[in-house]
Amino acid sequence: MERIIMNGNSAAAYGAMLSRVQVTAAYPISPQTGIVEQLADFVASGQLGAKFIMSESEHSVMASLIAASEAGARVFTATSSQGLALMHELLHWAAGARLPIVMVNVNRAMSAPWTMYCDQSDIVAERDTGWLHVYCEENQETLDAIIQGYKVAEQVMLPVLVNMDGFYNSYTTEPVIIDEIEKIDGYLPPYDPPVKLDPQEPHTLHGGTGPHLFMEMRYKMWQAMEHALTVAREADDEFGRIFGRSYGLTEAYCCQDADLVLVSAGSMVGTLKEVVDDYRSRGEKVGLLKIRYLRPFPTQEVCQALASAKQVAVIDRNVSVGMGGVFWQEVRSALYGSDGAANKPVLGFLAGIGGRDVTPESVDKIIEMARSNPPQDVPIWVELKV
Amino acid sequence: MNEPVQLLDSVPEQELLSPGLYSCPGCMAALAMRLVLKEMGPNTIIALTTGCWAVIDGPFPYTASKVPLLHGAFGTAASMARGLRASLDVQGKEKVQVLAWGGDGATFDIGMTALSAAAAYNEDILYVCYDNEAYMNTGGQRSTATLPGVQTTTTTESGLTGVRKKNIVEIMASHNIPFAATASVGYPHDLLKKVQQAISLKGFKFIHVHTPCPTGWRLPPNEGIRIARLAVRARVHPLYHVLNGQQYVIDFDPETIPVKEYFSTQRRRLKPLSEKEMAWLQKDVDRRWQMVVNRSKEAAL
Amino acid sequence: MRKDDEFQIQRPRAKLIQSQQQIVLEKLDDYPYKSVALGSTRSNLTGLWRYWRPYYQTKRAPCDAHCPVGNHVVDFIQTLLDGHWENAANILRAENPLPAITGRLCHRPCEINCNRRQYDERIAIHSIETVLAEVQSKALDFPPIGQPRAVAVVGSGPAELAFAHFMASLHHQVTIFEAEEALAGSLRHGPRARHLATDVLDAEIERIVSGRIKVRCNQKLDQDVTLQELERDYDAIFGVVEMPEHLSLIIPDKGTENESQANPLLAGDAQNEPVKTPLRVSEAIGYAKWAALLLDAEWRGLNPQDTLAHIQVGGNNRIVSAMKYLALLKGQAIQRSEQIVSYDMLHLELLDQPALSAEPSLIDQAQSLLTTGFVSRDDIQYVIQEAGRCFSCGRCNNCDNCWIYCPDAAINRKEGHYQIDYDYCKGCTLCAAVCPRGVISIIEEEKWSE
Repeated sequence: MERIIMNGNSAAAYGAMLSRVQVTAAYPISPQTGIVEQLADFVASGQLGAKFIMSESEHSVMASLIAASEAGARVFTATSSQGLALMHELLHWAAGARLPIVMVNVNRAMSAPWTMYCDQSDIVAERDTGWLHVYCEENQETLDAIIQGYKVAEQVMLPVLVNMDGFYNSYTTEPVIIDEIEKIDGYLPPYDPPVKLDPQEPHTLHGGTGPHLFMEMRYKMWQAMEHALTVAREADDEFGRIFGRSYGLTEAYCCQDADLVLVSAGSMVGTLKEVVDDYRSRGEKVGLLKIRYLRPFPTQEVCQALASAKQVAVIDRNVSVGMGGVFWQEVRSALYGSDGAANKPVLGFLAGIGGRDVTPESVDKIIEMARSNPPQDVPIWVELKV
Repeated sequence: MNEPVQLLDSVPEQELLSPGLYSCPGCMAALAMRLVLKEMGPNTIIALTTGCWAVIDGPFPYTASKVPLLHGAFGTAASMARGLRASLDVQGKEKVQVLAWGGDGATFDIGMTALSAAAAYNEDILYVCYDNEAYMNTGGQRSTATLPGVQTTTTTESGLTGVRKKNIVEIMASHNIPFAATASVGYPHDLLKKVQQAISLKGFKFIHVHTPCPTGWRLPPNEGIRIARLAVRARVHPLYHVLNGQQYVIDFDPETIPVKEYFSTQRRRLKPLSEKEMAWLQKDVDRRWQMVVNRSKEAAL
Repeated sequence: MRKDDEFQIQRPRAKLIQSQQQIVLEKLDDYPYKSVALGSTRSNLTGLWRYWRPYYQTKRAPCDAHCPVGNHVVDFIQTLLDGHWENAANILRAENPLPAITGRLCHRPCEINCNRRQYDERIAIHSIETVLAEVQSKALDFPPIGQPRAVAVVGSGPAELAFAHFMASLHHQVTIFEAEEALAGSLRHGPRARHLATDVLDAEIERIVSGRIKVRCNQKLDQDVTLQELERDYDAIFGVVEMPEHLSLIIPDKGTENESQANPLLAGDAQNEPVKTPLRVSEAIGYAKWAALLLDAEWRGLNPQDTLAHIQVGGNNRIVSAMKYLALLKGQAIQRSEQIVSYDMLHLELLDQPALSAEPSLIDQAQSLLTTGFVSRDDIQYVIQEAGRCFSCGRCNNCDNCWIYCPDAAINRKEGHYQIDYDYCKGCTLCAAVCPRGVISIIEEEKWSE
């Protein structure tokens, strides 16, 4: 076991290497380029016995990986915003094709206006593709999420999107534990799919499907996603037992007696934890719910964590223009109809859009705004200069 | 007459397609796949992109293919083929052949970037483009493989439109791949010979097969072969191949016929063209052929 | 929501279902977890789409159709090319008792009408015939007749020899009465004799008469034997007997039937009328064969008109086939159409023809089968080359085109036979369009003509 100082990109690359991925295809895009370069190094040095396809576009990246996965290899890639969007149609394809692909998405705002900085709008359009979504707070979590990702994916046969914030995670260095790969082998066995492309046993995959069959096939996918909740919990528990680190589908921090619970995902959670500690030290009952899995949505855990809260403030680092932040919508949906939901205002805050820092002072403002009973039906923009 | 000699018994016996194909009667694309698969044999995986062939193989849960076949999104034949190659190689299955199969729409247009990358990286795959000169699967809209002066559902205006047919073999040759060739269903032995030559080489191989479409070209179903042969003779689709992007070899130099004669039995396909317009068409065809002839005479560098 | 412990990812079956049955998925577990094919397209009976139905039908080549003798030229040429020299010789001698002679003397209407002539050069059929005449062969084995007749043949020119040969083959007792010392008449002394070596002629005559026909030479009509004697002793008399320079066939009235039935041969225009000589060699043989086969048919109690309809060649009532007669007598169905294959039916503006080079092994094999020294190794090589140019009009010779060009894999090829799978044939008729032999015919599918 080693402890190395590395940034999020390197952690992602290590995660892939330790998962013994066999084929990777990638296209560089800021702020993900470090992943591509580190992987290329691993392959060149022989540390990773994988084939590295240098694709000419992200659409081709995903097409290549779909094919590579269908032929029986464990595959990996990483991308961001524009690149993620460019492969959008194939994300639907990969999920419908029931392929256990793990992809790291380095959250970056969607252009236009053209930007490279961090926000989570890039996942707004991808939320509904059928991929599992995981949101990582720190670099260790990213590395672990990749390994856990394969474990979960290869049991439910659905792909996993591991998200980390651009720059805040990807280019921030932190100490990261690298366990022995043999230990990881004990947790993650080699990939052995029930169907693969092999002339020894020929199969034709994904011919045109008519209305008389499509719903049932979709229903099977739906079932797999439902089952993924259990599989994800178990995978995380097992990971905790072996490696001493587990994260849960959500993390409730000081929620039991909280009056106000802040809800968020990604690197912002780190800041929020500090603020909650600060408020608690002054006797104020503020809590934090970190959402780790957006898909499948852990409704049970979320409702449980927010059961006793008098007020909920969801802080989104993304916006679905016309409706509001994605996590806000999901939390409101999840709470609807549950005990006490009618009297529990769920406020939506939009912060850090386009890479604007969310500081402890920003959070103070949010809490202040929350306590002033703002309207509940529209999102509240934080620290707009106008 | 310098006709390519038909060798009896040179077409492999094994059928790698089941009957019951969902193709139109007389479909030349179906014939092209049947022949190519015979030559490649069962140790092949097909990366198939959207187009007529995605329908011909049959709807889920049926298939005509006896070799593994992967349907993929539009324009991904070459990128899927790269993925297959990497996956097979990393599993020690280097001997399994990868066949990327796409129509003219998938190859010339939407899949162009992926094609170019696969060729530039010299992936060890065979890419076969079956060319019916339009987006036939969606009803016959023009592609950049459509000849000027041809009626399609999106070229209904009269006269020649400004766009020429892309010379895909030239594009491929300029990537310096080991083998780039034209072929025609009208000359199956030449096609098979080229497949055989291609699979004996390592690296990216490209074959542009001309597959006239009786349905789309408004011909009776039994006309495909005749029209394919006429196309070769009119030099609209001459038979040649390029080795390593430099060495041009003419496979067949028949007595030529004018382009006008080639189109004379395709009345419902060619727009009414003036003498000048037909002369322009003829000149364009002549120019391309002359380039091939000139290059075939240059010594290999 | 299903219970978690019921969730499983199943392996689909390893092999596709190959039957024609539709795949029915009922329970959720029947559905594979991803869209992987479960059955082949054999369940898609595209034969139901068909309007035009292609089918194989052997037809008549123009060489056959114009040969007065009724030779099956294409059959013996293609059989020879397959390396079955003896079978080819059998086919030749089944129809033509004097191939060594016709090969050298015939006016070659076959070559004049040969379709290859419209492509480049006619095929030298006569040379093929000449060489094949020297290969050992077996005679046609006709079924015995309950009551063999006695047949007298007066003279021994080509017509008479041919008549004698066929009558003997049909198990009748034949006697040739020849005025000269030796058989052959004009073939030995006449104007064409210089084209025919004596030993070739003698060998040919020997083959016909040896052990099966009684020969009485130095028997001049009206001197050494009279017509009345012949009419008394024989059931049929063939030769120049009634009128000078006219061949006739006389069936003596034995007093049992009335006059009108005494000499019936055929109704209509093909009456038993004397035929003016001199005839060209092949026409002489052809006429004699026609007369012999139809007379035998009558004797066997068959209707001559019906018999002629069955055994004629190329739609011509004057040309008959002995092999077709044999099939008729054996009660076998004759699977051949007498439609003559014209040049445009060969689709040669579309297809090209291979050039055959004579393989040495083929030449050696042929040489070992020769019974005489009348032809050389060079002759054999030439003949093989010529045979290789034959278009095989109307007769499939396994060029494989139909099988190669079928876009639907609906033609099965097994041991040299092709079979269209009508469950899947869509009726595009490409097979017919690419057949360079004119063998594939097209007909409207029955269900549409109602």
